[in-house]
Amino acid sequence: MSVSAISPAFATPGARIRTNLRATFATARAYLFRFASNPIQLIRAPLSPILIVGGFILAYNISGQTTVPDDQVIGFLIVGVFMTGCWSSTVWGAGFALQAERYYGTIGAVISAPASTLAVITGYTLGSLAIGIVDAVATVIVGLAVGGRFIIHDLLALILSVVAIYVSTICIGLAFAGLFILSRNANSLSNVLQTPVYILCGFYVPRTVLPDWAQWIGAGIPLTHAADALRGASLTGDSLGEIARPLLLTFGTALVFLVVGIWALGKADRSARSSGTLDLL
Amino acid sequence: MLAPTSTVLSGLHPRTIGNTLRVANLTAVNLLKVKIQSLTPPFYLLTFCGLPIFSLILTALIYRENETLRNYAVVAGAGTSFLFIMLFSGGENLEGERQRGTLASLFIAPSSRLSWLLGFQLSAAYEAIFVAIVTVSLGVAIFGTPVSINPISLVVTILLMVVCLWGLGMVLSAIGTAVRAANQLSNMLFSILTPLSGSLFPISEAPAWLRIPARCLPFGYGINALVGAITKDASVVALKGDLLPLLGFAIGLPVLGAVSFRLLDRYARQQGHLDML
Repeated sequence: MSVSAISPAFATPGARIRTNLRATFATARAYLFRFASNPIQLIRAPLSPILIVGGFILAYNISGQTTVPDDQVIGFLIVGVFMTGCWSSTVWGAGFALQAERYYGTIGAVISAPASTLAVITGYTLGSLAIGIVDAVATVIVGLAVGGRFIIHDLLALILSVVAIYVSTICIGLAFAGLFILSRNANSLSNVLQTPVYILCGFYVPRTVLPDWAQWIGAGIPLTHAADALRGASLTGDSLGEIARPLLLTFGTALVFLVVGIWALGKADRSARSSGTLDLL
Repeated sequence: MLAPTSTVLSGLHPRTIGNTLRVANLTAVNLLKVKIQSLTPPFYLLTFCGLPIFSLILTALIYRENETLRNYAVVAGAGTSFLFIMLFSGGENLEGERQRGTLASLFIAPSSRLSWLLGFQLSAAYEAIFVAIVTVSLGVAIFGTPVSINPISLVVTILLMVVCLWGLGMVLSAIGTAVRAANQLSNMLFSILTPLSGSLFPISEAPAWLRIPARCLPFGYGINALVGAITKDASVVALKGDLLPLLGFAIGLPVLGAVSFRLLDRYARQQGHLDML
């Protein structure tokens, strides 16, 4: 009598995909429950982006700037804060996914589990992005209340811009996740990387004020083009055709990060298994 | 006849000022060593210098066409380093002790609470001063901020700010330790305090609805005094409008901090779950 060594959950490619999807959604659900059980996080989540955008609006007003090139300051900054939320969600969500498991002492189980590690990381990212959506809505409402103006002529362009942002941040998050597994300085790396990304991608200041070399670096980050697309679709009423170029650049650069992420996660997985130091804090 | 244990212990560990300061300094140096070794020196420098420098660059880019505000931002960036590092280090260090399982031992150690609390804040003060020097130096080098330092005003301002932040830091440490969420509390409060602290813009330029609550906190006075002491060679007398309120906070906040920590101590002993994550 032969015994099948392969679990039905992984017997076929379709079954494997379904199992990994279940792992993703289970991880996301657990993340959201943990988040909801922490009152400080519940207060902080919508409050932080509102305070950030408020501080920068005041800074611009005090310095006498009411417009940035082509855009109204409040609208420009709201898009920037929305992008910040997406970045934080993925860097802290994806990057910290396995760091959190390491802290809980369950990373060995996660890595050795049959479900893909990528599925777990994606689950953390989705959970984090779900919270980010709530924060984004709160920020937009506050931005409108203080006089922000949005000009939207093409709803499909707007939706695709937002999708492009989430896709690009997920791909960037996956690229960093592998690095964060191998580095026990994930917290420091995440903290340090935030502000340079905000500057290079034009979240709070237009990229045109940066030197050429900085603009070239920013051009390699998908969020830069996603920000251009979203600002075009939401602040100046650009159509899908008018934002097609930044959208294509977004997906193109995001693909590079996705490939790097898959490679890095695989390498980190193999390295962690061979060195056996994954559980060491 | 045997002496009571407490007398023996007090004899072995007299809580003199000298011993308190010695323990404080040892604590500070040890904390710094542990932090640098755990992060490794390059990451440590990257984290503690990178963050304020990049924030400074961002603020300076917003004020790219306003030299006065840009120069303010350079020094305010240094002041923000004090704010962030000192205000939250106490809670972070206590949380770290809890995670290592040594928090209860710290509370029942024979040395005074003041000594190791002071040590936590001393380590933060050393870091903050280093980061502030780096930030201002880079601000001068990159943005050409004119520097005209009044050393007496600078020392007085820094001393008063350190004392204020020590007191307020103890309050936040006590709350953060009691609710087991020092890191999250720090992050939340930093978002709230940033527009109120004068780190982005001078409080005097802020609208009234922001200026009034900001004047109830020490940060705006401290950062304004720093700007005067570093860029305008302002004397202590010239800065009295900022230094006097700062002095008031420097007297009241440490008292409030000590009371908060005593309450935490009592609460922890009653509940008995100080070491629980």
